[in-house]
Amino acid sequence: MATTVYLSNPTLTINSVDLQDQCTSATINYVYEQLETTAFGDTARKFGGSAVTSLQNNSIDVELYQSYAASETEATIYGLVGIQTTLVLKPTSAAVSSTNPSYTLTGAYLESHTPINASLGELSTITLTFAGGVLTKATS
Amino acid sequence: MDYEVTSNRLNGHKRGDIIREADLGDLTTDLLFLVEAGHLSPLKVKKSAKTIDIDPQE
Repeated sequence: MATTVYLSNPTLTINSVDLQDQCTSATINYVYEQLETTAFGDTARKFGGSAVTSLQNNSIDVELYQSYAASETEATIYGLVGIQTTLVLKPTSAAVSSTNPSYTLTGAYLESHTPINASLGELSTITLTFAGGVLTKATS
Repeated sequence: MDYEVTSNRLNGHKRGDIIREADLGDLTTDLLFLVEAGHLSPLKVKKSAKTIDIDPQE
């Protein structure tokens, strides 16, 4: 059956730091900007085409548990605000293969971070958006 | 420069490993951030011990 259920195996590294056990969600947005190429004579709108290469506009959204302990979430993320870094995500922790591809976003920019996101009686979480960069997919 | 891995979160390495910047490939922006975050510690170059010349006993 062609379905994927995420239990505990997806892996996430940010700036080479493995944050799998602090992560509760991750979304890769793989985007090529839509350029209109509709011209006279067309009867419907067209976008892109073989001679049109648009810019990638990728991003990755992740939600992490906040932790102020040594070498944990806060220590790893705080210094990355305002600079570019690299993220790697895989569906499972198994070796990279065609059925377990690895996605690397190189040169992604972290614009903002919420060092304190606190509510009484709840675990603190942070939501980060890494924008820009080149997305590559590896299957071996 | 060599670095000692000081956390268990560095991808592909474990605490106590000695690595170089090249070992992390292109996956890290700047090792300084990993040092500040406590994942790496730069290894200081140890000076070799001074030797003392002792005249051979006759």
